[in-house]
Amino acid sequence: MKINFNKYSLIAVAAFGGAVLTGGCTKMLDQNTKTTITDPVFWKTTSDLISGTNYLYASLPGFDQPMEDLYSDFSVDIFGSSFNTISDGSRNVPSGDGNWNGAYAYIRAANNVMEKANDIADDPMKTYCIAQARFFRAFAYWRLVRTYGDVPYIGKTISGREDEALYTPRTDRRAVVDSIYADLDFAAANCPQADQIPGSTSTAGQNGREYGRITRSAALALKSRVALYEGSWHKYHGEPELKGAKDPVKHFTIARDAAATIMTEGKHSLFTGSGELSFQDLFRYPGETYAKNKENILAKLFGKDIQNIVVSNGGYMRPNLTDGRNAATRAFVNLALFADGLPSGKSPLDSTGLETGLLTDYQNRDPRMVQTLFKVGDPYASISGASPAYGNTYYYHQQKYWTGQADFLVSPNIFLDFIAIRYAEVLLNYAEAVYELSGSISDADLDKTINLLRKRATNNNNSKLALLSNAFVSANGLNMRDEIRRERSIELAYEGFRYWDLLRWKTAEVELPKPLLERKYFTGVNYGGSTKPPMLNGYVLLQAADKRKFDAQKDYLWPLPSGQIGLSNGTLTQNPGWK
Amino acid sequence: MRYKKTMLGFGPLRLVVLLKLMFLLPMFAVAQTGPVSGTVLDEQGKPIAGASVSIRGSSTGTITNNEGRFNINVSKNAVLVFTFMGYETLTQNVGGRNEITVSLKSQTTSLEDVVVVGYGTRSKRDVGGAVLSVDQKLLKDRPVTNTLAALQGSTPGLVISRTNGQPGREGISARIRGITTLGGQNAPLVIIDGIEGDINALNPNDIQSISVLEDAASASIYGAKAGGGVILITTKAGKVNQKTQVDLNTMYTFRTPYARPELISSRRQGELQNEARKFAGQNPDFTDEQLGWFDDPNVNEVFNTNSKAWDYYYNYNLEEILMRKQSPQRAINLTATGGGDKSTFLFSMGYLDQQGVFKFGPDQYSKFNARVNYNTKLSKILSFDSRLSFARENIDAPPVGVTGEGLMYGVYSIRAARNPIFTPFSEDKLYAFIGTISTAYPVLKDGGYDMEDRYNMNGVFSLSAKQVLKGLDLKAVYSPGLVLSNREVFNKTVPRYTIDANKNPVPGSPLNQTNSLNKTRPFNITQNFFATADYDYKLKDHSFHLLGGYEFKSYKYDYLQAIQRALLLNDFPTLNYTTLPQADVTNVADNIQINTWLSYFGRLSYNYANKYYFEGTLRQDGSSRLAPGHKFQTFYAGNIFWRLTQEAWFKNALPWVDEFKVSASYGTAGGAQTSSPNSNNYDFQSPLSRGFYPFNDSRTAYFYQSNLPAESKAWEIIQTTNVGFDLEVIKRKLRLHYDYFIKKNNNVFVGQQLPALLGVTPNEANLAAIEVKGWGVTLSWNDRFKDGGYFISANLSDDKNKVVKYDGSVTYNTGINSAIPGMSTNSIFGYKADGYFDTPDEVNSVPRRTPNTTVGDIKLVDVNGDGLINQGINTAADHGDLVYLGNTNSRYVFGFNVGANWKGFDVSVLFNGVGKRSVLLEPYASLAFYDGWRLPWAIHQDYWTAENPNAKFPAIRMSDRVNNVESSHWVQDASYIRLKNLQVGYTLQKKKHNLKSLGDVRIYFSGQDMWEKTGMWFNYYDPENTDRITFGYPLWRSYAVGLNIGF
Repeated sequence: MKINFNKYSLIAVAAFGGAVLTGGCTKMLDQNTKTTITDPVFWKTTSDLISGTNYLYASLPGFDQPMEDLYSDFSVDIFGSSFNTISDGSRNVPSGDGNWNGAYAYIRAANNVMEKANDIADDPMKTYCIAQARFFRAFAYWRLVRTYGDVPYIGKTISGREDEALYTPRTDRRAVVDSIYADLDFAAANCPQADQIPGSTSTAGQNGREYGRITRSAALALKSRVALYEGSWHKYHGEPELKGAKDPVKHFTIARDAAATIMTEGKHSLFTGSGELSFQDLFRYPGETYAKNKENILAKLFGKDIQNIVVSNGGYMRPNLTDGRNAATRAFVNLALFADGLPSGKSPLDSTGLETGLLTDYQNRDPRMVQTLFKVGDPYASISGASPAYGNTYYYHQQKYWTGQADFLVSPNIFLDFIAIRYAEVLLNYAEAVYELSGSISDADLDKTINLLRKRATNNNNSKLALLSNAFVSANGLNMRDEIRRERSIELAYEGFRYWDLLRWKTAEVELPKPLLERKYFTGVNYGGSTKPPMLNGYVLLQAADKRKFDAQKDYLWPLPSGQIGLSNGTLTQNPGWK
Repeated sequence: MRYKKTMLGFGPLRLVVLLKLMFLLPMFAVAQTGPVSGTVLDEQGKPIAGASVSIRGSSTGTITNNEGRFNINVSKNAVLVFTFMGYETLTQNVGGRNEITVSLKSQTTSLEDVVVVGYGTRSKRDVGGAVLSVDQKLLKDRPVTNTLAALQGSTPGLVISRTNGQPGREGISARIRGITTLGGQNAPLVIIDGIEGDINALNPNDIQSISVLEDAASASIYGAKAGGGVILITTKAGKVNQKTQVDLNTMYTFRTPYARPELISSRRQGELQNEARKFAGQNPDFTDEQLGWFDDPNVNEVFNTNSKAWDYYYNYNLEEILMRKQSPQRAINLTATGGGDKSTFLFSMGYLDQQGVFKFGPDQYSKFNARVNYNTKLSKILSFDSRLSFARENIDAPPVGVTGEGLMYGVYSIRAARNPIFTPFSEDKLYAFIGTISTAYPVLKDGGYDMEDRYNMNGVFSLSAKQVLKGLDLKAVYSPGLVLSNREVFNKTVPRYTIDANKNPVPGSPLNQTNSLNKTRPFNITQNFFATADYDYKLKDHSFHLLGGYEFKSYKYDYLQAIQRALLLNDFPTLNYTTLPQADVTNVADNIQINTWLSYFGRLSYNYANKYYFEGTLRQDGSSRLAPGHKFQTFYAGNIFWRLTQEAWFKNALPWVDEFKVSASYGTAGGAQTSSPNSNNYDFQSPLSRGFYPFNDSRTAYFYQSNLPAESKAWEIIQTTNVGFDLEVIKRKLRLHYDYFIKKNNNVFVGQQLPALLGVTPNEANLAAIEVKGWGVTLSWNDRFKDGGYFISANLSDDKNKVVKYDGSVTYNTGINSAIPGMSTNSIFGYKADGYFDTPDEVNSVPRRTPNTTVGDIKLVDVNGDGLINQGINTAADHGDLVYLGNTNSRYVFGFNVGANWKGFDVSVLFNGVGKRSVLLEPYASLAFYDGWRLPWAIHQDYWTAENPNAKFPAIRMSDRVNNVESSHWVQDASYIRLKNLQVGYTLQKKKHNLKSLGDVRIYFSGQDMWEKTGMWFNYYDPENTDRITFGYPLWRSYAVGLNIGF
């Protein structure tokens, strides 16, 4: 008994003690991730820097940008039957806003690329990465300024809750815009020309230098866009949305010169590869890539096919074009010129109120309007099946970025690129900046801008759309500024410009409160069993004037998200008029 | 007392027996076998009829008669085994006697006598504080798949909730004594046979006992993970010298789905759609003729001469087409237990399967369990115990998620009724494609599957040395656990067709244009080692017990995923063949998560004369899950209690009080580490997120920082103060247990709100403090009467938490707000609704949130009177008109259990419920026509009109963007009372059927969730559902019949 006692006790005590000793190693408590890359192991080489820079491309607008026309008088959701609360003036101050948060997320990422580059050896690719980062920082600030006016300027990565930069007050938009110019100048100086980057899908670019990246022209084009906006803002706006000194000339000059530089350097031209249908094909597969289409200055890429999805474009076509979530309104149709170059109310070809059928609208019109809209009998594909033709309807479905194929019917995604900046806009920026600077524009300048666009639209057939000249304007009692603006609105319709143009021209207060109309209603037409809609003067009425308003004292700037004001320790203030 | 009574009651009889004995003694002295007779009594000295008396090691046995008497022929050295249901088994050596009287102890009492506590067991009288034993009755014969589900309503302070009824994915969670953290799971630590384990993999039939450790005094010994309380489970084992007992339990259950929307006909949907259009100032979608077609079974499709497409006028009810009225569930369990002189064993096997709600398609669950518990004495000192368990679970689910906008949405809400399932004129061979059409049918029938097999293997191996030195016990335990999963999601391409003008099929968009097979192989291995030393020392009335221990644990999760897309053959799911020329880099992925733990712990228990008790606990834990420099933390607890009934003066004053014990304790335990071990292991490191941009039409990777690292992630320390008492009176028939507690977590690890200028998700940090106050009470009454007994038991508990500190920026938002100082976690904020606008004048007389508000819309109150209805700047000082609308935390959780048995019949009823809780409906999913394709349900017919001003819903309107804001209108009173379980059974005792090989046979009915009453007016969801439930998998009412046979 006693022997057993000792033997077992010794074994047991030894086992117990041994366990305590072997397990005592606290190094076992140091565990680090084995399957996720962390900040300290990254950012060592130029190749890492390229990967960091690539993220910024996610900030390029895609098919969300054409949806911004819903804010304007041009577009309406006829499928969901809901009205855009920005367009009809019924929106409330939001507690959060993805536009605000998203912009600062990319600003941080851009600042981070610049900071991380400090520890990487100099080479041309490093400089190019910094140039791209500065482009995207400028782009993010530009979208903030356009939307909210003065915004806090953050020029570095904020470390965390102790960092005072979190509570940066709103910076005067003039200072923010100057920093945008500086970033874009750096980008323009350090990004390659478009023809220095491999231009087609068949020619693979080298890592960090592929089609779709920022070029010198992209930087200059964005600069002209920003400057044109600022020029107009200074020229047409005052309190409450713009306080203090104004300098429209400075900005219009920058807009003009940046556009002129691109025009002079000759790396871009309008797409004419499909003859009469060039304007339409520009937004379809024939218009993809720089190799096929020199009009592309910057595109958001969407990859190749369904089996190799990299980034889904979300299927813009079906819900928004054929279902009509981004359908056209009578306002767009009314703005488009007739073939003689004259608008509704002036042209003998004017069919307003005189329509006899659903195709009358399309006769003798600016080909761009015709090519932007579906018309009865067009090849079509509908959500409710494989209908071969676009049927009778009292809506205007628009088709910019429709691929011309019913490919969404066999695939939930299409892989068309979205053109974020195209050369046509540069020409329009130039024309408008020139006009706004001096109150006039020469025929020579019209010929190298607006008339180029008209020639492309008509495949050089002036009878389809007369050219614009000073003589034509004065002979017909037109206003050159209106014609330049009209040109821009028709050319760039459903690409996301209209609402912002109405804001900068300060005409939103005139255009947005108008009733939203669709087509003329014809009693004899077979609409497929649908019942008769509400109407105004014979036109289908979607939203009456009394439901639409635009408050010039507040609506030219968006409200800051209330949650961000609340988080700012009192440093952020709300825009005028918003409660 | 009892002795006296026996002497009085049976004295004369005994005298006779004694005389007989004296006379017969010489004969028996030489005889090898002979008759022995005797009486089996209960604790009150009443005879037990039908008790089984058997000879150990032989199949011979008998049954007591109505007077409790038995006669049996035995050898003089035989051992008799007395068993009776509900009583402890008793063995007696005959030892030459021929008259034996035994009294059996009732089992309920005896089981409670030993309570499992952290790293040991205690006699119940030596436990003070909030250690609650779960009544075994509650686990018996319940048609549930999961132990947690059976615990609902069982224990005060333990709140179990479910989210849906999907087989194998019921989303059951447990919480003890409320919320002490934010963002973390706050789940209790589950310890099975001494080792952290998975309660879901456990067979409820294998459970011997469950203790719930609610206060720090009892839980603190588990330190690190015990902040959410501890559930201690011990599995069954055989007993020494027990005849092998085999039990076969079978149960067959019908389950019927409930808590689902009531659908309406196509015509009714169309009429409501027209109404909705009219209200929105639009033209109606359907003419009277078209509405008529919905009703006409001969008109299903009409060719639209304008669009040159077909319009459809079907009238389907997908609930009827796809869902079963009832689904079966089967369970069978086989258990064998026994033991010899040195070894005991338990072997059990269990199988359960369950059919889901769908008539076809993958929607099943099955589970197989096996267990071997084996204990053997190696010597007088050493013994070895091994507990091996295996579980295989199989979940066969549809390839798409069922809740949210998933499959159930396709059944309940999307345009399912009016559109065809099959292409017309295809003789139901081709699936129809019509834009926004429900995919529920083809997904279920042909869309593939989501199949998961999970294998859980676990062993607990202990070597114990008893009395190594006087009073010293040593124990070493090693437990490996292995979980292998195998999940396959197959999304099959299902062609769909539309028809052209000539009724010929035209291919439309298929389901899953690119088919895919996604295989995941998570594998995790847990290794746990602990060693303890127990030392008992007694000096007169002073008893000391000292426990010391060391524990090491490692957990490794290794996840491997492989996906193949564009499979060569659509009905041959393998990774081997694809039509893709190049593999996609995201097709393979891995994820390794490791955490390690190192702990030292000790406990000193002292009592003086079983009267005054003191206990102190100390534990140091280190965990890899915390930031460098913050890994170690010491936890401690102290507990004192006093058994007043041990005091002579008390006994004298209140002799009818059998037990009165008061206790007070304070202690700390760790929290926030109970969130899934597969995540949050490296919070202190700064991960980069990856994405792709299609330069060159190929995947070009990008990296970015998406959140800041929690560089100072430190322990959450949960401090609990507990006071309570136990009272047992009237011969321990009436028992009362009460606890009051305050829990505090001053170091809550929580996400923070920082201005978006940061540009990245802010890091989490230990910024907040939460305080919980609550109490729990259990009251029970047990008594026996002739041939039976009955019990009543009720429990009620409540806790209320408050965020007492939050160092981050505070924002007030509509919906759930969890981190507002001074408020409870999970507080619902929103606008205050005040009925509907009945007249245009009323609309114009008050502020509106949006100018589109009109007659028939919900009227929101301008609470702060500033002439606007808004959320201010979302701060404490200015949150506009947002007000507190309730809380989703459960309050006043109760259980009520009554039962009786008599002559083999038994009946019991269990109710459970929640006295106070609110949930917020997801407003958009609760409106009839938030979108044109979300169709209304029967409940939506009760909408505002001038004639129906007190409707459930505002005026019906297409694309309602006015009433979809969070307001009190959408807050539901989710309090409820539920008939959780009703059991009626009959036990055919062995003596009655006289079948030799058979023991007791019990046949029963057990109904689960058969009835409930709730305060929710939106009655398509169950009140247990989480906040903002949208389209949930229905819950079930279960009706089970079962047969238990003993051998």
